[in-house]
Amino acid sequence: MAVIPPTAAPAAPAAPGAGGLDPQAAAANAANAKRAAAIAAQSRKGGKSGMVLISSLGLFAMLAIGLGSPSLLVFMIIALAPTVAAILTDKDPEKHAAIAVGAMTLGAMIPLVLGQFTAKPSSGYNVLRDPFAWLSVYAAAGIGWGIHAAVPAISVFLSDMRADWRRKDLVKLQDDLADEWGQEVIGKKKTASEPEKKK
Amino acid sequence: MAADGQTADQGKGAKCAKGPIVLESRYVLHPDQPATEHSTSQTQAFVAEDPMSPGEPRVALICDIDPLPRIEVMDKLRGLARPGLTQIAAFGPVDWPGASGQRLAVVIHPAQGGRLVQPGQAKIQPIGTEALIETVIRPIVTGLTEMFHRNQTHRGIRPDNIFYSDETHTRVVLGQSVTAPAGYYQPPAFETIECAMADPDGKGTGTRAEDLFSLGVCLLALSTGKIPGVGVDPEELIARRIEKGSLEAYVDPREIPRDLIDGIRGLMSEDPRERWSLESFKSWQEGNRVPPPRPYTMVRAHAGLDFAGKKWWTAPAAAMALSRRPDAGVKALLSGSVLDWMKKSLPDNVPTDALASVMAEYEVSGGSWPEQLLLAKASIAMDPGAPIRYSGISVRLDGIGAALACGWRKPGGMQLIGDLLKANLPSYWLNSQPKHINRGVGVTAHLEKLGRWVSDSGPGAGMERCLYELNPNLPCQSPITAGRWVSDPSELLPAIDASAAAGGLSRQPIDRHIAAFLAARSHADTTQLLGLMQPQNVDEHSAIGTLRLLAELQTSFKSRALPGLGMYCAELLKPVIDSFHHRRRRGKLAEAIQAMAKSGNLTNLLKLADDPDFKKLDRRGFDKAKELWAKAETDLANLERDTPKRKDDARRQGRESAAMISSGLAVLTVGVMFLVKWL
Repeated sequence: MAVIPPTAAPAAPAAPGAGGLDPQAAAANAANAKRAAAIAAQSRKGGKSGMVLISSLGLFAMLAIGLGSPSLLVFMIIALAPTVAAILTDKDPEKHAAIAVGAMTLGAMIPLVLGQFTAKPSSGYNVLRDPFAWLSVYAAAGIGWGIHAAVPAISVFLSDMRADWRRKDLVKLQDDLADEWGQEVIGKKKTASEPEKKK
Repeated sequence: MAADGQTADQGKGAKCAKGPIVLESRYVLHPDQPATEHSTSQTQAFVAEDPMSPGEPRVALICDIDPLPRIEVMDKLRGLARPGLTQIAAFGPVDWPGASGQRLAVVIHPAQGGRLVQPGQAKIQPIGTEALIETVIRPIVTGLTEMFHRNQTHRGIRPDNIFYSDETHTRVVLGQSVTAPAGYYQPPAFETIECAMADPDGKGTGTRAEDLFSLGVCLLALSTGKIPGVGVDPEELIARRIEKGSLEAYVDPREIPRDLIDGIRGLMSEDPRERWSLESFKSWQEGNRVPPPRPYTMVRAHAGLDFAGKKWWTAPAAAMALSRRPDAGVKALLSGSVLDWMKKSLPDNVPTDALASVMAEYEVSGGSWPEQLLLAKASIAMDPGAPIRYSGISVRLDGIGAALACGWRKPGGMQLIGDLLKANLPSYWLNSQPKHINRGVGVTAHLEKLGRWVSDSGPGAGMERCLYELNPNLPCQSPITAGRWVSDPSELLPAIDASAAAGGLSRQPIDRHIAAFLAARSHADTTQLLGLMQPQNVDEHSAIGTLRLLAELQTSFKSRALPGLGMYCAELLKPVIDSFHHRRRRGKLAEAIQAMAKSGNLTNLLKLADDPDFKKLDRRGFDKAKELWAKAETDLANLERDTPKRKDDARRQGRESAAMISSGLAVLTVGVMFLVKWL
């Protein structure tokens, strides 16, 4: 989602002595700022409502499952604790951390919940007492955290690398131009001592 | 013949060595054998030989520019072999030993019988009428006829310049008169009053009438045995001539043989309109009756003007006396004594009114004129026919050029002529002449131009321009030509080239002399030369302009290759080369210009340096490069400025990607579990 900076480019200041900002420009600034704030708020609101919708659906599913098996409900509530923690700690309005952790937790939890459902009552299998189940869901949550932490760093690293390449390309282009056309190309006056380069 | 160290196209020049010098690959000049009989005070003569005419004597006269030789007359008379005239065999510049720079050598066929009269003699044995007519008059008239036929004047007819053509003394020839300005060596007594009042170098070419007057005085001297003017104060003699007329001032007319008196009187008339022409004289000689000139009259004052310890009885004589003593003359004028004398004692109102008008103008101007200008104008008012007299110099209108050329090397000489021209005295003199004098539209226009040039300090103007305009045969006086006798623009470029090749050119290849010389002789646009005259200020435009002018001169004069000048121009073209932006192209251009400069073809050099397509290509490329550089600079700045935002975006994208990856992994895990469980 595109983020519009809260402060749009200010209009050019009025001429000195005109008594501060031009009223028209000030009005335009205010309007821009309001619009930007509204869009940002809408964005935050949209993210929250999606999150609420997903959380509601999850909660509904959990209740539905929990009505059949209270131990599963307890399992799910405890297993989703990292996700809840992510929701609470993630300041990102789109709650990417919660999505990453939650998705991974769900990915590990769903087979376990289904295993409990499909297990024969005689088997006496209880997911609450299965250390592998706990290990799976928390490991999955950890992986989710790991992905959430690593991928943005990798993304920034790649972006920096691309920017560096671009900078080097531009500097090289400028050097080549200066070599070919002399220092006048950058607006400097040519000096008599400027060496003639032969390529 | 090319000389040692000389260039091939200085073919007119002659070989310089300690031994004989060869002129025009033919005449052998012997600097170690003077021919004193033919020397003058300013021109040395030396023995010469013509190998194509062995045994026939030749004499070489060696001229500098002071006094200025009459090259235009030499041109017309060269090779002309006629009775009564000294034949000019050849002339041209030579490297004369001991002289700084080239000299003009004139090879003549010398007369063999010696001078008719030795210089300085006051009395001679009178020549009988018959002998005079046969021996002297007839050949001289024949010679003058030839000269006049070629529109030339001799201006050197005097007894000591008449030679017996052979040892039998049966014929005479007129000596040469081409090694100095017209009338330069003429004693005042042998000149008309107007010419006698002028300085030797300012007498002007004159007309046939001046030659005929001189012939009349010669006949008078030879027939009476008395050389007029010898041992007499020239000023006093002129005053007497003005008062009485020359003939009466020189001798008692009764002393002149009766058979000659009419002819001499006809030739010695003071009024050029009354003076006999050569045709009239020849007609009289043949026995026909020719109307005699009207008797000479001059208005004499009732009382003389007391000035400089003498009494002056006529306005022209008084004007001469005043102008020959400039300081005292000005005082006399300003005191009003001269005007008072004219009003009270002179019956002729014309000069009186003219002087009164000049004095009134001076008073109206509040005395703002220089005093010498007042004296000059007053002299013209008192005697309009006299030469222009200013600050002690006295020149006729057609003698200004020669006076300027001779005065150039004298301290203050140039300045005086310059002041005279700046004051527009020639035009004033011309406008003061009687109505019958042809003022000539062309002359007036030319005088106006001289006035403009003398006040213009730009290249191709100034006194230098006047010098070359007034002396069409004067060689270029620039020190850059290293003393070479450069009288034609076509010889100038090779001379500069030779100087450049010899390292004689410092930073300034063209000076005011060369600019004026080119402007006068080739009508070139010398504003282009400014670059070369002020080399420290040469920019690409003036460098190209200069090269264009030089290339045009090279083409129009079909000059040979000029590598010395080419290399100099290559140096001058550095700003042009530097104006190209593309470095590699600039380097190649510099190499090509160097190569072309060495070839000496200035036209091709110009084409190379002034190629508009090449310039356009470079300019377009440079503009594009500047645009690209600026865009790159903007992109770099944007990159720097947007770094936080870019990182935020990358981080956000990373988080989104992390969410998607996690979701994908979860779906994948669930899917795999289902597959494992149920399949």
